[in-house]
Amino acid sequence: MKNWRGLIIPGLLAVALLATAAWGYGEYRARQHLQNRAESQYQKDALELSWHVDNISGQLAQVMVASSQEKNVIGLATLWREAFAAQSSIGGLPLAFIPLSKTEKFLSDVGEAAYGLLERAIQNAEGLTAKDKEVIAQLYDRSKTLKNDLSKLSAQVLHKNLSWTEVETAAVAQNKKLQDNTILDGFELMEKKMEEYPELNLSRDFDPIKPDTRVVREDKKIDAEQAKKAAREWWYSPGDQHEVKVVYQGVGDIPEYGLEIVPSPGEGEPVYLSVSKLDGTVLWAVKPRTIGPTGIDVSEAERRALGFLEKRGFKDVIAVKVEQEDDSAVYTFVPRQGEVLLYPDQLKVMVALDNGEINGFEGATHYMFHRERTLPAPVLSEKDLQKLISPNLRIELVRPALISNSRGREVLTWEVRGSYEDDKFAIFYNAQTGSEEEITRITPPPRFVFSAAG
Amino acid sequence: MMHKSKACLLIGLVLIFLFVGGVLLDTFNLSKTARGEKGAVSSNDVWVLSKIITGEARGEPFIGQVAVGAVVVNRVKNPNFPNSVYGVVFEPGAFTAVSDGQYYRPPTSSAIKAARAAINGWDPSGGALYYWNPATATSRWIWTRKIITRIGKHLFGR
Repeated sequence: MKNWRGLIIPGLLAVALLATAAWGYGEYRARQHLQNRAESQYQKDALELSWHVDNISGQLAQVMVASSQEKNVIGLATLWREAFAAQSSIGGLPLAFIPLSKTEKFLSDVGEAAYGLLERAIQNAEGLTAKDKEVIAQLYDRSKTLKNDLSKLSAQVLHKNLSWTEVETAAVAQNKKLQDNTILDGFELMEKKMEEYPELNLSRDFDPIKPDTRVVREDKKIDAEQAKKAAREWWYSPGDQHEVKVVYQGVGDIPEYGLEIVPSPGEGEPVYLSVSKLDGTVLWAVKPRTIGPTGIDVSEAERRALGFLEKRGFKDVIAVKVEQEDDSAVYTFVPRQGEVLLYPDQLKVMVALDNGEINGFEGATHYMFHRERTLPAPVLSEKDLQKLISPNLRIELVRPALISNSRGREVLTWEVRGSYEDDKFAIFYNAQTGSEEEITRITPPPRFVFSAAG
Repeated sequence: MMHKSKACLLIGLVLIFLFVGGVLLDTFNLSKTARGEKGAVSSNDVWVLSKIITGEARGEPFIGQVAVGAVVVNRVKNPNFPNSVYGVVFEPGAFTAVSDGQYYRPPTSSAIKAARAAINGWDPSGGALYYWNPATATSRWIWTRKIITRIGKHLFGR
């Protein structure tokens, strides 16, 4: 052929085009496969949600009609498990776009009520009281609505072949209102119906307490300059002259100033603090330093932490927990009232293990909860306590402690620390009734190494 | 005539080279190598938290990163949200960093420090459950949240 040279370029381009088409088709197939995987995952979660809510409804009815203590206990335990499972399933659906707070609150209420009643049903042979049954009845009412709506929706999804991945795409598109999306509309409607129910008044036993900080602390309302002075004098010492900037102001649990102490040359990173607007107390502080190779041990670090706290007016505090990572250790300290350790009033200090410098202080919890309390005398003596402790526990220490129990109520207890084989425990026995309030496992969790990018 | 065809050949070769290069990059993930310092964490939670902080708040001031971590921790404690760090982070659609893959990049060392502080209870967000960038937020619903504070380019609210 005379002009074969002229065919090279078109030839090459044609090959390139075919190659691109082949690659594009391969990508399309891969995407379809992934979409199917995602869709099946969502379908599974949606159907499981429907199934769990169904079980919750039926179980609530069962608890209403059961008259023996053992059936009550089993029923409540099942209820608690199903509520947890339902929360898991709903968490797996692409519904972050629709606020489902009432629905999710309902599921969590079922779990909370079931657990609280379970504790009571085990302790009292009479089982549930009339008031308890009232709570169950109210939950049952709501569960019926939820169950009906969800089963209707599930049926539609199955019969009309609706797609969850379409819902997800709608969520990503955010403001674009997806026309006639049955699934989204179905959930929105369900949430609206749940909103129409009055706020469920779970008996006061179930509400965690959170004291009004203004009752615990004064409300002097300090200004920014006073806050800056409080911050620099607290971190360094009275008369300190470091420059301080206000980074933000917050109106959360405690109205606060977010401050930054500008470091002098050679001092490294700035120190960030939060100061309460109510009375100028420093709530927390952080100095994000890059830490060098380990130079001090854990007990020396604890001494540094104690020294830091003592200098700032936290006297007579006991270390109750230490979490150690490679380059720093976080100590949890609690104050004492007499002999009793006050766990709700805890403080945390982060110590760098290269030179013992304090890199963090967390005192917001202490600020909110610490006050002079009237503590009852324990009814259970230490001798009687020994009879309650399991023989499987190798006891290390026993001491009185005030804790916040799973219901959020402050309870006076005997703290027993011990171990079973490789696992360490702190067990808290109610000092009035002898019941086991809390068992906490304090074995450090497994660690692994990973890499960070610069 | 000769110059024109030479130029076409050159362009064609460049295009093919680019195409092939793109496919290779894609296949072997050559653009995603991680290098940097080593560190040990005591649990998966800090790891997951540091990755979400990197994805969502890279370039934010340190306190802003701690605040983002604290929002995740606050959600774990709140009954309306899943009960674990990974449950909160992987809730579909909850974090754009997860949806668009930013999450899967290695975390920065600043994010790791921030994650440790947040997991240990430091909370500059004042108890917030939501955060958003007022300049880019398109959801109207997020503006119904009560604003607690603003750090860097994020508003924090409940």
